[in-house]
Amino acid sequence: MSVTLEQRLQSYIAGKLPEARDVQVSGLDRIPGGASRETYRFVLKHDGAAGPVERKLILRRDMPSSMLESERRIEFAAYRAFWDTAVPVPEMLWLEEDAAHLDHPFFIAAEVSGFQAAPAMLTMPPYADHAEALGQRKYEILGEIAKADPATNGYAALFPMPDPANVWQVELDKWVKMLEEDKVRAEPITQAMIRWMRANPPPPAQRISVVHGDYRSGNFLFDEAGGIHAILDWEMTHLGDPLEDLAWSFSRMWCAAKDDRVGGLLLKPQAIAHWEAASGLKADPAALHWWECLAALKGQALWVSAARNWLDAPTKETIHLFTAWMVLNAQDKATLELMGRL
Amino acid sequence: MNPSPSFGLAEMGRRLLEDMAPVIQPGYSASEAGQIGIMLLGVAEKWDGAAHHLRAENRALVTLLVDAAALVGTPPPVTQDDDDIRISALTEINERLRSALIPVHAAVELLDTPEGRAMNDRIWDHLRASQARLGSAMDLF
Repeated sequence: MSVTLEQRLQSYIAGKLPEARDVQVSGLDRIPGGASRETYRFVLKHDGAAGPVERKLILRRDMPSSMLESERRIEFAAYRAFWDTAVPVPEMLWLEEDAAHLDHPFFIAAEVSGFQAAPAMLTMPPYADHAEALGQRKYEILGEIAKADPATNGYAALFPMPDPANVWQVELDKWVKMLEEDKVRAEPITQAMIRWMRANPPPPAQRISVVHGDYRSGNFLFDEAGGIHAILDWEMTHLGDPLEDLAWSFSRMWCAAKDDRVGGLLLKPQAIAHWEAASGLKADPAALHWWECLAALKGQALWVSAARNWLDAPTKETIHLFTAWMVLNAQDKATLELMGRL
Repeated sequence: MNPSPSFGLAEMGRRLLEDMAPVIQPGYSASEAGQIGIMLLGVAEKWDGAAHHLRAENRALVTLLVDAAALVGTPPPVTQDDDDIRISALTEINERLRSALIPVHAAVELLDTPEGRAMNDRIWDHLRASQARLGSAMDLF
């Protein structure tokens, strides 16, 4: 009889808790959680020195094929950098890069349970009644991320410090390369935007900040009263221009309410005001527009990568086909809008 | 096929999305069912007019490329019969024409003349129309 994933996970955790007795893993259940890692929730029970212990945990395991070859070591370290700070994140427990245990590298974290993550919920009662409060909190937290000091929170040890003058070029080149390497179709709209971006670079970054890399509605856990309890999905985190996160959060792809409220929560000027107040930084309109174009390019590169994954990978993930069919063209429309051509 | 694929897929997509996905467990499978339902609705929406719109776009692209190439002094595109109206054949032509448009558009952008600016606007008008052709009521934006 084959050993199930649940049993293998139990063996792994038992090895990590040598003092614990009767270690049991139950209720392993895959949940939606991004297109780059498989996410499962489960319950861990064991007897410890102080008595019985029961914890709700999360397993994040690399997919056999991913649209993004990100390092789980970086994501794990990012969560730890913000643990117990003004930026709420779940507690990280174990990182395992040896694929022998569960077929692919993974990490295990505490589950922040009882809250919502789905962007569609933001448009429905009771959450929609607190959209502005949620939006304010969302951009206050992003301001805290922008304000964090890479030299003291561990980021400086993870990444080389970019040059503020050309950080824009590093990001532009990175996403252009991905767009071209994973090409599935001609991209005349995105290519026109890339030409414009090269001809009209932004000013140097006002500071080098932690960039979450995927800061948007859908990547935080919220409650029914306007509270945010965890910022998730740090797999694209890096050091860069703080406007990058702000601009990414403004993408039309996250406008759950299908109106002008960014992230389905509040209008752009309000979001900028909250972010500026929390970060102490300024969102220069022209620079922000350039970074919104970068967000459109980055989005298209990721969606193209999803399409490429569907075509090439032996394991077909529905989310990759969904992205290819339902998002690529919508991103083109958003790019037309950014270029003043919609 | 009667009832038409558009009609059939739309109904199947709606049932999957609205009736089945909400009661499927676990949550990941429910999410997948919802995504598949949305994709079926998207295909249903586009099925009937796909070949017609694709061929019309290809013909418009050829005209645009001939005019733009003449303006920037590059060879016109190699035209190809579109008697084969399978979507795969028309898509192959479309892909070749859209690829050819990229360098021509870049060259047009460098023309600082009224003709150049007018052609640039024509190209953007075409790209906007092309995007709208592919757009779906199910799109995020």
